[in-house]
Amino acid sequence: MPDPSLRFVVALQAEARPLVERFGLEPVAESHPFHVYRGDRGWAIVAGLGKAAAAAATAYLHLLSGGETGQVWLNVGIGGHGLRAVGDAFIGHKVQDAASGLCWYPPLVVDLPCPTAPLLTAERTEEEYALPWVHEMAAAGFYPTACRFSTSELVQCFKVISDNPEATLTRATSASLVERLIRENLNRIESFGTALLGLAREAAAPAADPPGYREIVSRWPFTVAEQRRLRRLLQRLAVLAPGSPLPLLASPAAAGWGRDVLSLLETRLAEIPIVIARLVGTPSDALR
Amino acid sequence: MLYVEEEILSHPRTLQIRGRFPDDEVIPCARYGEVFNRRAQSFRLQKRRPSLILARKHRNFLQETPAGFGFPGTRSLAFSHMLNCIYDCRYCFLQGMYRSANYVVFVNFEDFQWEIESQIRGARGGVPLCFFSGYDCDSLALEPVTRFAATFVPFFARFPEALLELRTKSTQIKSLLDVDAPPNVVVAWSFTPEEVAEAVEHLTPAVDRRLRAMSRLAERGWRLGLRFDPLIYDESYRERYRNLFQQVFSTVPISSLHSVSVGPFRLADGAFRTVVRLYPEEPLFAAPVAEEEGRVTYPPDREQEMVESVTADLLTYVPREIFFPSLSLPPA
Repeated sequence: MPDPSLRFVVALQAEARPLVERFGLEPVAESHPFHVYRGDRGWAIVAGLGKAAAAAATAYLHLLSGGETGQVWLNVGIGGHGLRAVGDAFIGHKVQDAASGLCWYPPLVVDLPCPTAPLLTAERTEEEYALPWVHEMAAAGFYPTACRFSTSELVQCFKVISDNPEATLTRATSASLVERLIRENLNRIESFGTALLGLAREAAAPAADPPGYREIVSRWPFTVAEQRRLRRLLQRLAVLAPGSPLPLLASPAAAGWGRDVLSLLETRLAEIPIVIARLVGTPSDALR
Repeated sequence: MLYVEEEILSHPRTLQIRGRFPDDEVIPCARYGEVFNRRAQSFRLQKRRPSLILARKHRNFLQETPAGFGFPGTRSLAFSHMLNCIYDCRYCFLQGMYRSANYVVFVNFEDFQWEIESQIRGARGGVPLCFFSGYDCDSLALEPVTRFAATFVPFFARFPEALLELRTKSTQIKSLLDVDAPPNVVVAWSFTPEEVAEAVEHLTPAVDRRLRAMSRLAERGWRLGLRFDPLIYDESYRERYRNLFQQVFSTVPISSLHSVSVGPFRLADGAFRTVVRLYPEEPLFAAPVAEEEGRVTYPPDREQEMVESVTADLLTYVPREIFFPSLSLPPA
């Protein structure tokens, strides 16, 4: 399984530019329905305005980037707020679709680089901020779609305030302002993304192949059920005798079929003492 | 984060709990299920930083326990004011029960009490009732926040014909020390040997701290329970359990004991598969197990040998009259 990486979903090219520079992303050359960028640290897609566009771009990027689950998904963008200053940044702790009333609550389990706020996704830009929420146009399309491809702890929304009652969209929201607002928050976005990548690696660890698994399935034939048993036997072996060599790899003739391998591993496991913890006063080297 | 259902935002217990977290942002939600246990949630990741959810329970306040569980000649009912536990015991069925590791606290204690009281009144003259708390959560671990014991112990003191067991690994006993010990309330502690507890009962108080808490309650006349449950196998298990019994019975007076039990390691097969998927690196799950009738246990020979030898050692300390193996079957 490849190392998890970042997937940015933004609405505007001006939001993408600072991310593309900071994360070393390059435009994907082929013709696509969306502008797409990729690099060693991840991918970015420019969705266009609206929740339907955000949902479509999220699904498109998932497939284009290889369809791997367990990646970090970040919706980065601008929004309006009735009380907050332009340039303030928030992570969404609640996403509500204004049209349907549906709600999602992104679980926040890492240190956050900025305060949190509820996000209200509207169909069109608003200049009346009825609730003390971040008013924006993408999160309710992005969030439930990305949660189909990753666990919800890894799917987050990062919003920068671009307009408020004193600085309305019509007067203030030029492309250069949007770009500056995102650029000024790049350190926060990067530290949040890094923390989420750590979380993604932790989430991926239990599903990793145990030592020897790939080599064994490439040498002997196994049914699907036998592969599951093999995986579990090798996991147990890695716990009970970490780092110990697998003799059957050194002398493959010892087993003719996959089931012979399973049988050899079970015999080996039965010989290993089960030690949950060291007895008080017992030196650690006396365990085995 | 503190999530609160909108309909209980102004419930007195909500206000009391919110008062303990003045800096936490309160996030209203319609129902706790919007936050808790939705699809695409990772128990393992959420366990790093669980949130508290305050909710109202609407029905099913009490659950019948399975046949065979409880004290002979009584009817057993379990109840949970909370879902999930602040501890992280790898063998616990809660590890595989929910996708979410957040804690749900049901604040409407009064509705639980209404249902309990009507059950007690309905059972008068019939089979005595025993109520068990501490299966979907630890009974005392979050006591400073929930005041569960502080509320339910005086309530049960009004009904001497019924028994309440508070099952715990916690040392949060201040609420209990603040009141007289009712004879119909038993505070039962679960134990595994010290080294095993350190390895698999993450975030729990150390065995000696639990024993100190028991000792303090014994001095105040509380009736106590000991639950050696689940029995955890390793090469040195006999020596470990002998050491544990020596440690326990040098601190806890036998005269304070209401009941003692021993229970083998058991998990529903689905819960076992889930917890192995979550923690494949856990030594506890590397031991051989057997699957039968939807349950995962140690192989029958090993289980029988463990139960018999540990019970024999235990009965050198405690009289057989207070030994109830049936208290260690899971109620749900």
